[in-house]
Amino acid sequence: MTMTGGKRGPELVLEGVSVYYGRVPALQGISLRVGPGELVALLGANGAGKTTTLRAISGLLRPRSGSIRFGERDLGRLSPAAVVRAGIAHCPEGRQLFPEMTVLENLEMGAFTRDDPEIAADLDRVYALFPRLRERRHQRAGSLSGGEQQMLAIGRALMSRPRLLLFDEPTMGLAPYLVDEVTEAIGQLHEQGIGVLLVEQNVHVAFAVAERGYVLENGRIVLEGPIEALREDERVKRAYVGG
Amino acid sequence: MIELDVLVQALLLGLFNSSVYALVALGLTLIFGVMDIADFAQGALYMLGAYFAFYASQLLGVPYFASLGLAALGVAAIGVLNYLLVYRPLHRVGGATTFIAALGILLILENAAIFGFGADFRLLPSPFGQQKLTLGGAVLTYHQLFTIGMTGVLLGAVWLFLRRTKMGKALRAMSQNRDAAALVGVEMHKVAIITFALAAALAGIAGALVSPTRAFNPTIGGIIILKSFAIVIFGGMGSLKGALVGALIIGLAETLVAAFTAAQYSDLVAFGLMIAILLVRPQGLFGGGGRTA
Repeated sequence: MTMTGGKRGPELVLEGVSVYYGRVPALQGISLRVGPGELVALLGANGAGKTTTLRAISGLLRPRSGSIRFGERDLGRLSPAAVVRAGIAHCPEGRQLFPEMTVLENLEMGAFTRDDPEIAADLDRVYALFPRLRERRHQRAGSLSGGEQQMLAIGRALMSRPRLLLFDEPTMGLAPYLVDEVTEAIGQLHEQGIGVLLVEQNVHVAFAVAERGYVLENGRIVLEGPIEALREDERVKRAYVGG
Repeated sequence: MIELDVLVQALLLGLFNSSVYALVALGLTLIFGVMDIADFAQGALYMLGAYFAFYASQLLGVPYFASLGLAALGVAAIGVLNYLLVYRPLHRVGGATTFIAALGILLILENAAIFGFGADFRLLPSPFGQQKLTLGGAVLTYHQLFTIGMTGVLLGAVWLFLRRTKMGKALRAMSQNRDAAALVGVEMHKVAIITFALAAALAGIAGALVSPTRAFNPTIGGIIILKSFAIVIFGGMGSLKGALVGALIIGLAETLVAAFTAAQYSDLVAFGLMIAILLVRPQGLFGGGGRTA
């Protein structure tokens, strides 16, 4: 059961990316990469620029300078819709569902850019990954519990058949057993060959699934390396006080 | 004692008024839901719909029913132009700017219409002539019945469009969560054009439908858009259900007040109900828990 059709995606490469909110710099020349099928964690304190990074990749924000490439394609000038078509799905912070639409409609919206006959099969795969979504497919998304909403947000992202998934705080506000469930789902998607860039406040989750990681501080990348190396670093501990 | 005939008459007339309100308010709430713009220019589009129908049938000899379609298309084109030329460039600024721009468009179109068409009141002959339906002592013209029926058909068509088509779902999605709609690949620009075209077409048809029952001149758009806006606030900004239920309640309440108190009080109803709902439920009847659009 794979969501990728067996193809690994191209490499995502950010080089010297700066993003400003008005005059305030949010990212100051960051460079990072996510290899094909790789699971990379993006760590850092609140306000370090993690969400901004994801929003720049998915085209919601325009970098002032630097380049964002996905294989051969320059994402820096693409609309969010074109980024989705290029094979990148963004599972945003706080789920961001369509609350008045049913579970099924939300999943169908995930396949909005597609027009192929395999949408139904992919829907079954999402239901296999999260059986509760099948049970609740005709319920309003806004009526789901927090955990179910997160599963729906992941499912909706999968419906575009991404080769790279951007996760923004997927376990935020979830009960511990649901954190495990979502972590496991992310691990499974990675095993199927989907690349993942994971922003996660819960370092235990990041350390459990990621292969490599970057640490952001005030819009700059201050540290990168294999996840085991980051685990012991003082700066990581500082970024996550009590984490 | 309430006289039955007066009551029935007020209800029938109220249903007709509600139909007109519903068409304009629906467009208004769609644009508000999707674009976050309180598009008062819709009032001018309603007025232009009446003139489109008038000139199509009087000058070009187009049959009335075909002129409804022409009015829809012509006004939809103007609605889209409003978006492309004014709202789109301003949208980054947002907030009060687009609202003031909307008032500007309303005034410009109104004055352009006075300049082009004159300020005289006009009335289009109804294809149904003076035929009336009589229910006891109450009467409704065939044209008013036709307007109510057409409104039903149009609302049904919009409902099907929003529920069953991909573009309709994209429109609802954008109204419920803009960022999320962008992230699943909805082209904002395309949805905006469809939304403005649809809303303008509804306003244009409403104007064209009313043109044989009520005399019109270039200034009729102001009061209809104020009332429709009150209805949208009453029902909940951005809520489709709210716009329809609000149109029904306010349309009926107006004619009932006019029938049983005095006609000059009827204009108070829409704004009185709007203020009342703002006091007890600021998000409106169906607003708040996310938008249904």
